Amino acid sequence: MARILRYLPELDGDEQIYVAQLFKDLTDEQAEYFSHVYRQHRKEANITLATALVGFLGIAGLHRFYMGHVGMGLLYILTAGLCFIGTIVDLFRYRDLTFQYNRRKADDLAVLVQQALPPGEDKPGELPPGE
Amino acid sequence: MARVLTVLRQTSLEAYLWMGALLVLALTDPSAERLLRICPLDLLDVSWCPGCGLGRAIAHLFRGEVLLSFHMHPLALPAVVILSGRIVRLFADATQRTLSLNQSR
Repeated sequence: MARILRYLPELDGDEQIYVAQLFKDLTDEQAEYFSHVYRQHRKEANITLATALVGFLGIAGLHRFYMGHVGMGLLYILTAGLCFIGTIVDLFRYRDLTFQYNRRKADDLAVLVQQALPPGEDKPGELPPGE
Repeated sequence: MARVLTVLRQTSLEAYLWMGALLVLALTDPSAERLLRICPLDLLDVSWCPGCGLGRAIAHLFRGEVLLSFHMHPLALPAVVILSGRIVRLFADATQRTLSLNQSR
Protein backbone atom coordinates (compact mmCIF):
# COMPACT_ATOMS: atom_id res chain seq x y z
CA MET A 1 0.00 0.00 0.00
CA ALA A 2 2.88 2.33 0.72
CA ARG A 3 4.21 1.85 -2.79
CA ILE A 4 1.19 3.38 -4.41
CA LEU A 5 1.73 6.48 -2.33
CA ARG A 6 5.35 6.56 -3.29
CA TYR A 7 5.01 5.97 -7.02
CA LEU A 8 1.59 7.38 -7.88
CA PRO A 9 0.64 9.85 -5.16
CA GLU A 10 -1.74 11.72 -7.42
CA LEU A 11 -4.22 8.85 -7.57
CA ASP A 12 -7.19 8.72 -5.28
CA GLY A 13 -10.53 6.99 -4.80
CA ASP A 14 -11.33 3.89 -6.83
CA GLU A 15 -8.34 4.36 -9.10
CA GLN A 16 -5.91 4.37 -6.20
CA ILE A 17 -7.42 1.25 -4.68
CA TYR A 18 -7.44 -0.55 -7.99
CA VAL A 19 -3.86 0.23 -8.94
CA ALA A 20 -2.67 -0.56 -5.40
CA GLN A 21 -4.25 -3.96 -5.89
CA LEU A 22 -2.37 -4.41 -9.17
CA PHE A 23 0.86 -3.43 -7.44
CA LYS A 24 0.61 -6.46 -5.17
CA ASP A 25 1.73 -8.62 -8.06
CA LEU A 26 4.53 -6.33 -9.18
CA THR A 27 8.13 -6.07 -8.07
CA ASP A 28 9.50 -2.64 -7.14
CA GLU A 29 11.13 -2.28 -10.52
CA GLN A 30 7.94 -3.25 -12.32
CA ALA A 31 5.90 -0.88 -10.17
CA GLU A 32 8.24 1.96 -10.94
CA TYR A 33 8.11 1.32 -14.67
CA PHE A 34 4.36 0.92 -14.51
CA SER A 35 3.97 4.23 -12.73
CA HIS A 36 6.14 6.08 -15.20
CA VAL A 37 4.18 4.82 -18.19
CA TYR A 38 0.77 4.91 -16.54
CA ARG A 39 1.17 8.56 -15.66
CA GLN A 40 1.52 9.34 -19.38
CA HIS A 41 -1.53 7.39 -20.39
CA ARG A 42 -4.08 7.89 -17.67
CA LYS A 43 -6.93 10.35 -18.08
CA GLU A 44 -7.97 12.95 -15.55
CA ALA A 45 -11.54 13.03 -14.27
CA ASN A 46 -11.62 16.86 -14.18
CA ILE A 47 -10.83 17.04 -17.87
CA THR A 48 -13.58 14.54 -18.60
CA LEU A 49 -15.95 16.74 -16.63
CA ALA A 50 -14.82 19.94 -18.34
CA THR A 51 -15.05 18.53 -21.85
CA ALA A 52 -18.44 17.02 -21.09
CA LEU A 53 -19.74 20.40 -19.89
CA VAL A 54 -18.78 21.96 -23.20
CA GLY A 55 -21.58 19.85 -24.60
CA PHE A 56 -24.04 22.34 -23.18
CA LEU A 57 -22.25 25.21 -24.83
CA GLY A 58 -22.22 23.92 -28.36
CA ILE A 59 -19.97 20.98 -29.12
CA ALA A 60 -21.11 17.75 -27.50
CA GLY A 61 -18.99 14.64 -27.24
CA LEU A 62 -15.55 16.14 -26.68
CA HIS A 63 -15.23 14.08 -23.53
CA ARG A 64 -15.88 10.95 -25.61
CA PHE A 65 -13.02 11.83 -27.92
CA TYR A 66 -10.92 12.40 -24.83
CA MET A 67 -11.72 8.82 -23.73
CA GLY A 68 -10.89 7.50 -27.17
CA HIS A 69 -14.50 6.69 -28.04
CA VAL A 70 -14.36 8.06 -31.57
CA GLY A 71 -17.63 6.54 -32.76
CA MET A 72 -19.53 7.83 -29.74
CA GLY A 73 -17.86 11.22 -30.07
CA LEU A 74 -18.92 11.63 -33.69
CA LEU A 75 -22.42 10.48 -32.82
CA TYR A 76 -22.58 13.08 -30.05
CA ILE A 77 -21.33 15.90 -32.26
CA LEU A 78 -23.80 15.15 -35.01
CA THR A 79 -26.79 14.68 -32.72
CA ALA A 80 -26.20 17.36 -30.07
CA GLY A 81 -25.15 14.76 -27.53
CA LEU A 82 -27.98 12.38 -28.39
CA CYS A 83 -30.51 15.11 -27.81
CA PHE A 84 -28.61 16.17 -24.66
CA ILE A 85 -29.49 12.92 -22.94
CA GLY A 86 -26.06 11.49 -23.64
CA THR A 87 -24.33 14.59 -22.31
CA ILE A 88 -26.41 14.65 -19.14
CA VAL A 89 -25.91 10.95 -18.41
CA ASP A 90 -22.18 11.29 -19.02
CA LEU A 91 -22.01 14.30 -16.72
CA PHE A 92 -23.43 12.29 -13.85
CA ARG A 93 -20.99 9.49 -14.57
CA TYR A 94 -17.85 11.33 -15.54
CA ARG A 95 -15.81 9.82 -12.73
CA ASP A 96 -16.85 6.30 -13.62
CA LEU A 97 -16.18 6.91 -17.33
CA THR A 98 -12.66 8.06 -16.52
CA PHE A 99 -12.09 5.19 -14.15
CA GLN A 100 -13.25 2.64 -16.76
CA TYR A 101 -10.71 4.01 -19.19
CA ASN A 102 -7.90 4.10 -16.63
CA ARG A 103 -8.71 0.66 -15.34
CA ARG A 104 -8.42 -0.86 -18.81
CA LYS A 105 -5.12 0.93 -19.39
CA ALA A 106 -3.82 -0.18 -15.99
CA ASP A 107 -4.75 -3.82 -16.65
CA ASP A 108 -2.97 -3.87 -20.00
CA LEU A 109 0.02 -2.06 -18.60
CA ALA A 110 0.35 -4.43 -15.64
CA VAL A 111 0.48 -7.40 -18.00
CA LEU A 112 2.95 -5.65 -20.28
CA VAL A 113 5.20 -4.68 -17.41
CA GLN A 114 5.31 -8.21 -16.03
CA GLN A 115 6.24 -9.58 -19.44
CA ALA A 116 8.81 -6.90 -20.25
CA LEU A 117 10.52 -6.89 -16.86
CA PRO A 118 10.47 -10.41 -15.46
CA PRO A 119 11.48 -10.46 -11.81
CA GLY A 120 15.14 -11.10 -11.17
CA GLU A 121 16.34 -9.79 -14.54
CA ASP A 122 19.32 -7.49 -14.32
CA LYS A 123 18.82 -5.84 -17.66
CA PRO A 124 15.25 -4.87 -18.49
CA GLY A 125 14.45 -4.84 -22.17
CA GLU A 126 16.64 -7.80 -23.07
CA LEU A 127 15.20 -11.22 -23.78
CA PRO A 128 15.54 -13.78 -21.01
CA PRO A 129 18.47 -16.17 -21.56
CA GLY A 130 17.89 -19.50 -23.27
CA GLU A 131 14.63 -20.56 -24.93
CA MET B 1 -24.59 -19.13 -13.59
CA ALA B 2 -22.96 -17.35 -10.67
CA ARG B 3 -20.38 -15.95 -13.04
CA VAL B 4 -23.07 -14.65 -15.37
CA LEU B 5 -24.60 -12.80 -12.44
CA THR B 6 -21.19 -11.41 -11.51
CA VAL B 7 -20.70 -10.15 -15.05
CA LEU B 8 -24.11 -8.50 -14.95
CA ARG B 9 -23.28 -6.82 -11.66
CA GLN B 10 -19.83 -5.79 -12.85
CA THR B 11 -21.23 -4.19 -16.00
CA SER B 12 -21.25 -0.44 -15.94
CA LEU B 13 -24.58 1.30 -15.40
CA GLU B 14 -24.04 3.04 -18.72
CA ALA B 15 -24.72 -0.20 -20.60
CA TYR B 16 -28.09 -0.59 -18.89
CA LEU B 17 -28.95 3.07 -19.52
CA TRP B 18 -28.37 2.71 -23.24
CA MET B 19 -30.28 -0.58 -23.30
CA GLY B 20 -33.12 1.07 -21.43
CA ALA B 21 -33.18 4.00 -23.85
CA LEU B 22 -33.23 1.69 -26.87
CA LEU B 23 -35.97 -0.38 -25.27
CA VAL B 24 -38.10 2.69 -24.60
CA LEU B 25 -37.64 3.78 -28.21
CA ALA B 26 -38.48 0.31 -29.46
CA LEU B 27 -41.74 0.46 -27.57
CA THR B 28 -42.63 4.01 -28.58
CA ASP B 29 -44.89 4.80 -31.48
CA PRO B 30 -43.04 7.48 -33.44
CA SER B 31 -46.02 8.59 -35.48
CA ALA B 32 -48.25 9.25 -32.49
CA GLU B 33 -48.78 12.68 -31.01
CA ARG B 34 -45.86 13.28 -28.70
CA LEU B 35 -46.57 12.67 -25.03
CA LEU B 36 -43.28 13.84 -23.59
CA ARG B 37 -41.27 16.89 -24.45
CA ILE B 38 -38.02 16.25 -22.69
CA CYS B 39 -35.57 17.86 -25.07
CA PRO B 40 -34.42 21.18 -23.60
CA LEU B 41 -33.96 22.73 -27.02
CA ASP B 42 -37.41 21.66 -28.09
CA LEU B 43 -38.83 23.27 -24.98
CA LEU B 44 -37.08 26.49 -25.89
CA ASP B 45 -38.54 26.37 -29.40
CA VAL B 46 -35.15 25.86 -30.99
CA SER B 47 -35.40 24.40 -34.46
CA TRP B 48 -31.81 24.11 -35.61
CA CYS B 49 -30.67 21.23 -33.40
CA PRO B 50 -28.77 18.64 -35.48
CA GLY B 51 -30.08 15.83 -33.35
CA CYS B 52 -33.75 16.64 -33.72
CA GLY B 53 -35.84 13.63 -34.60
CA LEU B 54 -33.22 11.04 -33.76
CA GLY B 55 -35.36 9.33 -31.12
CA ARG B 56 -38.32 9.05 -33.44
CA ALA B 57 -36.06 7.86 -36.24
CA ILE B 58 -34.73 5.06 -34.04
CA ALA B 59 -38.28 4.10 -33.11
CA HIS B 60 -39.10 3.84 -36.82
CA LEU B 61 -36.09 1.58 -37.30
CA PHE B 62 -37.32 -0.78 -34.60
CA ARG B 63 -40.56 -1.00 -36.52
CA GLY B 64 -38.80 -1.79 -39.77
CA GLU B 65 -39.83 1.55 -41.30
CA VAL B 66 -36.41 2.22 -42.77
CA LEU B 67 -37.42 4.96 -45.20
CA LEU B 68 -39.42 6.83 -42.57
CA SER B 69 -36.46 6.50 -40.25
CA PHE B 70 -34.00 7.92 -42.75
CA HIS B 71 -36.34 10.80 -43.51
CA MET B 72 -36.76 11.64 -39.84
CA HIS B 73 -33.01 11.53 -39.15
CA PRO B 74 -30.45 9.94 -41.47
CA LEU B 75 -28.13 8.87 -38.67
CA ALA B 76 -30.53 6.64 -36.79
CA LEU B 77 -28.92 3.41 -38.00
CA PRO B 78 -25.32 4.50 -37.25
CA ALA B 79 -26.55 5.70 -33.87
CA VAL B 80 -28.02 2.30 -33.03
CA VAL B 81 -24.92 0.52 -34.32
CA ILE B 82 -22.57 2.71 -32.30
CA LEU B 83 -24.66 2.46 -29.15
CA SER B 84 -24.90 -1.31 -29.53
CA GLY B 85 -21.16 -1.43 -29.98
CA ARG B 86 -20.73 0.55 -26.78
CA ILE B 87 -23.11 -1.75 -24.88
CA VAL B 88 -21.25 -4.83 -26.10
CA ARG B 89 -17.92 -3.25 -25.17
CA LEU B 90 -19.12 -2.54 -21.65
CA PHE B 91 -20.30 -6.14 -21.20
CA ALA B 92 -17.01 -7.38 -22.64
CA ASP B 93 -15.09 -5.29 -20.11
CA ALA B 94 -17.18 -6.72 -17.29
CA THR B 95 -16.60 -10.25 -18.57
CA GLN B 96 -12.86 -9.69 -18.74
CA ARG B 97 -12.89 -8.30 -15.21
CA THR B 98 -14.92 -11.22 -13.91
CA LEU B 99 -12.61 -13.75 -15.53
CA SER B 100 -9.51 -12.10 -14.10
CA LEU B 101 -11.14 -11.90 -10.67
CA ASN B 102 -11.76 -15.63 -10.83
CA GLN B 103 -8.18 -16.32 -11.84
CA SER B 104 -6.69 -14.46 -8.94
CA ARG B 105 -8.66 -16.50 -6.43
